[in-house]
Amino acid sequence: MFPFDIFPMQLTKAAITDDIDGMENLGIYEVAPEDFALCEYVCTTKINIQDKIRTGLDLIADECM
Amino acid sequence: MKFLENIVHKMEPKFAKGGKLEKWHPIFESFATLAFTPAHVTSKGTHIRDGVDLKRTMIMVIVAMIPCLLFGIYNTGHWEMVAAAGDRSLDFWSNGGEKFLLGLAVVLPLIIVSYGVGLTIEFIFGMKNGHSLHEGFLVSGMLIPLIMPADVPLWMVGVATAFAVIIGKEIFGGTGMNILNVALLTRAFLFFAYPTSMSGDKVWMAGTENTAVDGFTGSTALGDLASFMSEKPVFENLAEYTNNYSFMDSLMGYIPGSIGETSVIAILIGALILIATGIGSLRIMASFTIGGYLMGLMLNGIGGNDFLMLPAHFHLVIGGFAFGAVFMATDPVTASQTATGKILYGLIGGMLAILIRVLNPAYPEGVMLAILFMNVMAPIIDHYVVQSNIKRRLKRLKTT
Repeated sequence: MFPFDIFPMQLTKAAITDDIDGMENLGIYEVAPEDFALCEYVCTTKINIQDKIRTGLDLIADECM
Repeated sequence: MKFLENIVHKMEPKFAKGGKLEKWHPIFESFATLAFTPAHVTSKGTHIRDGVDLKRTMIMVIVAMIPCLLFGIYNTGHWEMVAAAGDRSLDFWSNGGEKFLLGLAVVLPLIIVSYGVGLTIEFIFGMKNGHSLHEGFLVSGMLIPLIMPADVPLWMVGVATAFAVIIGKEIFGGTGMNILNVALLTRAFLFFAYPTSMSGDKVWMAGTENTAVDGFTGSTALGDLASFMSEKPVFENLAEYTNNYSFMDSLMGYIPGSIGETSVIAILIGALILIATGIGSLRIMASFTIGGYLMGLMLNGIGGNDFLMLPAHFHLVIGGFAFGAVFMATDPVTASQTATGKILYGLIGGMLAILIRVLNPAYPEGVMLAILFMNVMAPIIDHYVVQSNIKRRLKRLKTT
């Protein structure tokens, strides 16, 4: 499902809550939204995870770069 | 089917925003999606989605519980007959139909009360907050009757269900937000609020009060075991206990107990369904069982009285241990969510369950308390697992 040493759910939660520190700690810089495609496929609640990660990355780009 | 679908689609506009029955939309949607696939499609991201959703997941769990339920009904009927005759040596498989009907008369009202009360509260909250019915209660409503003693009064089940759904779940924001397992909370509420109806040797068989024989008690294997710790044990020694409740009987479930918990075989069938469909976590089930077994072995090593000396594998088949391991500990909302966390959660939970069961004879059903305790601890376990991942990442960053 997710081959990296990253917790996809915790990272997504951090992205949803705009928690920049949390995202950085959980490894947002190591992923691209497409990495979450499989997670999105199996997600029981049908949350658009890729979209959430994209928003998180954009937020970091706005705030930190 | 097509005919029904047409009716549903015709009704849809009435419930939509601005329609006449807008307020009832949550209820309409809940029933419509139970039977038919909703019309909305993905707009972004992965366009192919797995067919499973929360509703299908929950229904799969209910399917997994059916063997327990059927066996529970039969077993309830059997022990009601035993209580009426006052004779424990009654053959288990004779008079099957009659026993099933007797059991059904006890179990069906429990199911109706638990679903009735729970779903009504869910609907009220759903209408108030404008969201569709939370599916979580589909499972909790079935679990509640399965962990009740046969003789529990219906109004108590109603009160406890209302308590668990409102205080245990809706206050936190509904399905997915609850800290404690709703079904176990119901049982814990009854256990502490009405202990006489939830423990002791009167409640496990329906109709013990009209028994034909004086001095007949409806005690369970666990109750009898716990009496080893008291002044007046039911059995003289362990050999006499294993004569009365053999390992095979406990495994097959030919013993009195809460309605759905007695047959480990039925529970294992459920476990297989859950594992095969990927809904239940094998990690939790396995580590919970291993934890319980290890603790049993450790207590054997300490020894001292007959309860402590009970062979460890007996612990796995009596009381609610197996049921708790398969259906309660694995609740995805209240269990740990990381892979390592799940193993720790199961191990500690299983060990605690047997520890409480053996060392605190006032609470022979330690499984319930252990799982509730681990529910509270699960976020902390997850926190440390996540922190270790963060530390690993920082270390990696430093070295490169």
